[in-house]
This record gives sequence, structure tokens and C-alpha cells, in this order.
Amino acid sequence: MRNTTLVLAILLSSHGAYAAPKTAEKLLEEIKVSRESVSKSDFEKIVHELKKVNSSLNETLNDYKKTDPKSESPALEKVLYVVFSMEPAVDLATSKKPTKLACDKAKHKVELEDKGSKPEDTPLSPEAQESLRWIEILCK
Amino acid sequence: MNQVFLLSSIFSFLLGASALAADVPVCVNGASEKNIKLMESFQANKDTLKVAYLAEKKQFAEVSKSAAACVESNLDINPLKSAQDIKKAAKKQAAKKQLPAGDDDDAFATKEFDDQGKSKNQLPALIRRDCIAASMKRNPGQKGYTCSTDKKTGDQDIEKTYGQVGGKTQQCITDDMVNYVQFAVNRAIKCLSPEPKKDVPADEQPLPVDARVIYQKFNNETGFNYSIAWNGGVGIGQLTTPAVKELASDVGQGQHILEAVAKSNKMSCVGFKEIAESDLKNRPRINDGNYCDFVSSGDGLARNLMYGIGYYLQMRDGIIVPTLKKRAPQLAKNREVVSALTAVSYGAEGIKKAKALIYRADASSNPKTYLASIQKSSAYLTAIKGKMREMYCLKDNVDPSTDDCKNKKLTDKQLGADQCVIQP
Repeated sequence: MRNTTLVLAILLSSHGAYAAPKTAEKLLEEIKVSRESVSKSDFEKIVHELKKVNSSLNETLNDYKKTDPKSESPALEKVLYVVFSMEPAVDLATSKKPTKLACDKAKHKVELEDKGSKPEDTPLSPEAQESLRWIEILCK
Repeated sequence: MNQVFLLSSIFSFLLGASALAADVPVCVNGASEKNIKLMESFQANKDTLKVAYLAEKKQFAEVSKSAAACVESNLDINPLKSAQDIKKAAKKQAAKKQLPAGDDDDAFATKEFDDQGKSKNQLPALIRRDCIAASMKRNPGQKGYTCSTDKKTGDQDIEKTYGQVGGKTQQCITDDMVNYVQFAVNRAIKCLSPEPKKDVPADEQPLPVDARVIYQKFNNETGFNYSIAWNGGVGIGQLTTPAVKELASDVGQGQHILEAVAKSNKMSCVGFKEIAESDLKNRPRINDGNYCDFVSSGDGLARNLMYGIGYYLQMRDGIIVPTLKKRAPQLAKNREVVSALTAVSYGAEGIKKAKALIYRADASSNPKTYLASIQKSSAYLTAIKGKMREMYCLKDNVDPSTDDCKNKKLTDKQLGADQCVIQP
């Protein structure tokens, strides 16, 4: 009986049922790999890939809901910063190629939300930088 | 003969002494009366906002005179009239001329013609003078700049640092300068407060500027010292490039705020309107060669107030309220929650922090509990309260670094700046 329980526990944990949600760092790594895989592709492929990235972000948020229903953990806050930073890029991922003005607005929004009230020479956060790189390939 | 000579010498000495005394400023912030570079640049300024201040100051002096005459004549004609009735009559007379007629505290609180036809809910509260005066005693750090007039352009844009804002180079702030800052800030609050919209239900009308939030921000950032500039921010509101871009360029979402000022017929927008018109054509840039565009006593202060308060409105109405409505509509109607989140969004923690705090809310969130939770989670909200405490200590001549200040009992309303505003 004890051995059966042990085997079941191992199986369930390897299945990811109790896997911890992805960290912000892990997400950023995956987003970067996705971007690099389509950086030389056409607009439709880039949009398709970015929508997959967005789905992954939403799944991660759902995972956090299960482990942190009050949404107060520092780890979740970092993930939310990634989600918010990527939003302007995700918003550009539509069927039509964005205009120059739409691209400039998106870049400004990323910068404003990242360092709107910080000293002028504050570097952009990693998530803001990643979002700007996506906007660059969407708008090329 | 010797006695006459002695008497006339004494008389001349006294005349000379009183003349000298008249030239020595009284520094309400405890600075040395020798540090008068900022005062001199304030006195020399002739920009529109400053001229408007001088005009209102003159009118107020005239009203005070005629109110005093009214009081006197009432006493002569009807000695049975109570002091209360006489005071009411004097205020009524001032109101007819649409001029300020308040107490010392709100001596220059602008009561404009453009208040007429609006309900109390549609009028902004205004900031009290004594709170501004106490705030200006704070040392917020960094360097300060004076701006002198360029003879070619006539603009006050030759910038020069007077040194650190605190310590030996702390500049003398006079009563007149406090009055001017109060006038300018309250005028900006009135100018920028959105106008009521026609055919829109009362509960969907745009809210006026929350003066408590503006007081807390300026107290926290600069202690209302409009001359501060560094790479962390310029002027009274510590503006940054992204914030200016948000309002003054087509990539931002807040251009409509500047456009409203540029088109406004409000009296309170005199001093701001022409700056908005100019900036919409030619976006101002922040760099260490043009600080005066944001810190001079006239146009610089006006621009800074317009953008500072405009940015607050854009954060509140363009980001916080819409985001809250999607997540927790009941919280979007709660003024305290909206004000706290707006403060976070333009503080050092920024918009992402405010959005992360909103993410915690849902349709079942209780406003009181939620507010307590975000106040605990935001370092900026804690810092704001700390600076409010400092202000109250300075107001009561208690050294902010002492235990007396740390242990001073202050209510939530005091720390929330409720007692630093005058309701309409």
C-alpha cells in the first residue's frame, strides 16, 4: 500500500500537477527564445509566435491563481511586470501590419510604464527591453 | 546746538536703520536673509502667471479695504448688527466682484467666475496656505536653479545654480513667495479640473482634481520648491521625459489634456493657456541646458504645474479608473482607493506597480480592506505619509529628526492631507 502511494506521488509530481508556476526569469528566457526563432520571419509568423507567448503568460497567471489566490506574492508581481511590459507588443499582433504611429505609441507605452517616474538615465528593465525587441521585429 | 546735532544724528540713524530693515527680507523657512537669489528671480519675473498673481494681489488689497469700510459703515449705521452679519456682508460684497475674500489661510485661493453654474461636487478643493508654508521648510535635497531674464528674448531662461536646496545655500522664502506658490498651484488645479459634460449622468461626470493627492505629491517630491532640478526630475512636480511626452506628443495618450487647456476660456487658465498652445506645436525637452523651461518663477512653474497635474489626471482617468473598472467596478467609484493607486502610478514605483496592486482586486473586494492592503504594500505610499509627518512637525516647530516628531500623534485624515485642503 505504502509503495503504491509512493509510486502515485512520484507519477503525479512528474506530471506537473503540483509543479510551481514559472518565474519571471524563466518566462523571459522562453520569450527571448521564441523571438529569436522568428526574428527573420515574415509578419504573420511573428504574430503567430507572439500569440503563443501571450497564451503562455496567461497560463502562468492561472497557475499562480491556484497557489496564490490573494495574488500578493513577490514572484507573481514580477511575472505581472512581464505581462504588463509585453502588452503593447501583444496589442500590435493583429492581422494588419501596424503603422509607424502605432509602433511609436507602443514603444512609448513600454517606456512610460517602465520608467515614467524614474531618473532619466535609469536603464529599462529586462522585460521592457524584451518587449521593445518584439515591437522592433513587428514594425520592421 | 550740540543737542540739535545729536537729535538729528539719532533721527537720521533711525531713518537709515528702518530703511535697511525694510530691505532685509523675512525668511519664513529659516534660511539666511542673505540667500536671496531665488527671491530676486521671483521678483524680477514678468511672465503671465506672475502678472496674474500681482493683479489678484492688488484686487484683494482693494477688496480688503472696501470690506473694512463696509464693516465700519455698518457699525456706524446699525450698531445692533452682529459681527457675524457684518462679516457675511463683507464676504458677499467680495463674491459679487468675484474676488478672494477668505481668511489668512486662503488669502489667495482663487474664486473664479468660472465656478458659477457648477455643483460643489464639480469644484475642486484647494490647498491651504499654512500647509504649503510648512512644506517649504522641508529640505528635499538636490540642487536648485534661478532663472534670469535673457535680454534678447525677454524670457527668464538664463539658468544658474545657487547650490544645494538645503544647508548653507538654502534660499530665503518670503511670505510673498508662499502666497505666489499657493496662488499658482490652486490656479492650476482649477484650470486643469475637467469641465462637466453635457447630457452625462451625475455619477459618470469627470471628477475634479483631488487637491489632497497634489499636495501629497508636491510635498513629497520637492516641498513645493519649484527651483529643484536633477536627472531624476525637474521642478515642483519632478517631471521626467516620458511624462512630458505622454501629454505633449502624439505618441502619448494625454494630449487631450493640454488641448483642453489651450482651448479653455476659464480665467484660471490664464498663465497656462499660451504655454499649452506653444507646447502642442513644439514639444518641450528636458535636459540640463534648459531647466528654466520647467523651473523659472513664471512660465517654468506654470508649465511644470500644468504637466504635473495633467499627468496625474492621465494616470487617474486614463489608466487607474479604466483598469479598476474591468477588475473591480465597485472600487473604481471609491475616491480613496483611486487616489492611492493614482499616487502609486506616478510615484517611484510607477504604473506597473499600480496595475499589479489592481490585479489583487476583484468584484468582491471590500474597499476598506483593499485600501489597507495596498497601503501596506507600497513603499511610495509609506514615504508620502512620512513626509506628511515631517510637514506637520515643521508646522509646529518640532525638529523632524527627533523622537518628538516620530511620536507625534497624527490622524489618518492629517496624514492623508485632508486637513491641508479647503472644500468648495
